Amino acid sequence: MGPIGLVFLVVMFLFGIIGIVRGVAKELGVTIMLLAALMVLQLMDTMFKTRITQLLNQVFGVPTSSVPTFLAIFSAIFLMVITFISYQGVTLVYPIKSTSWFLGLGIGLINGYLFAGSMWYYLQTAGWPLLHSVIKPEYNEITQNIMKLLPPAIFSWQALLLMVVALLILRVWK
Amino acid sequence: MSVTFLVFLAIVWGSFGLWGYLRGWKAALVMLVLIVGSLLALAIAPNQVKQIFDYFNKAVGLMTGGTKPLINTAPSSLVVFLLNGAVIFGFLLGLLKIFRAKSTFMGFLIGFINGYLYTAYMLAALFPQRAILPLPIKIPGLSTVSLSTAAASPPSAGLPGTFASYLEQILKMPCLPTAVVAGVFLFILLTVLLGNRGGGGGGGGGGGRKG
Repeated sequence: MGPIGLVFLVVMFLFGIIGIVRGVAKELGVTIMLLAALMVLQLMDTMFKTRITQLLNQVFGVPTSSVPTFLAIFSAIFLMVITFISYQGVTLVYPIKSTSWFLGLGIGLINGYLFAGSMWYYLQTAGWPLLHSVIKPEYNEITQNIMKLLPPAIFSWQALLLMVVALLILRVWK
Repeated sequence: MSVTFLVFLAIVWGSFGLWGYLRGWKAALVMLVLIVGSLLALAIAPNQVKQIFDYFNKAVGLMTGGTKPLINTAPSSLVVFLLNGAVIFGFLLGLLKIFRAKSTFMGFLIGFINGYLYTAYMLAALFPQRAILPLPIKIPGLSTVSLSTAAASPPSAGLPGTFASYLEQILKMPCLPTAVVAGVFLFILLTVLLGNRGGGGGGGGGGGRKG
């Protein structure tokens, strides 16, 4: 596995540790926020890409060839902001009694996968802006196969919508 | 075949055994029942199992409009799919409180048997030239090789190499993306449902809390 894959695993591991420390109740609040953010991005990519391309092209004069890069950078920044909001300040908490470290670790790792995996995907699509002179993405076969499993590559907006709705129902359901 | 390959097998068996010891014999037994059940289904009625997956592939194809089958229905692929499904499902079921028991040697032993069955069939399905472990349940399309044949096969690239090639085979499975999405969803759902039953102080109550 190359250095980028290693960074991805380290970030995922860090999120796992954070999950153990913060507890499963708080981590689930972050999960739902990340899923909702990804849903918005996937929806934008699937349904409004043409309109956004036209808007960027005609209003801001962004060349059509640069639009995918522009959108990928926007997606990465959007995800970072949402993740920061999810962890900082007043957060969404699930009414869960369990303090199991295992569940905290599991949900933390899922959050890490959703965040780090999506960042990897979007930065890769954007061509590693500001880092393109440092990062030379020559991936081996395993890394290439892992890249096919990054969240934006496998989660459709329909699946994300189903997850977000199910999690919201479980949040209010007694 | 090399010593590192045997070390790799020992690590997998030990991990299964350790899990059985930590969770208790009931959780290990649930996994064993699921593994044996899925193997028996493939041994007794392979065509029916294949047909079920064919129907599933057709249904997915109709919904997504794709022509490529989601799950490969070759015997080796079905073994990999069902065996991994049984292990993951058994692991999740083992987290339920009703399947919890004291840490005993019996749990380790059943966990060890789970590990043996898992590696024996996965080797036969993914690395037929290294399938040295006898298969207690005969499945059409799967076979083992003798120690001398396995010894004559080209040496593996050490423990990391064995693990890497094993990982590579799993990562190439066409159903893996769907399995990851379903796995993430199921784990979150199970966490919410199990967490509500769990003891301890923790997070109860309402919405806004300081992160």
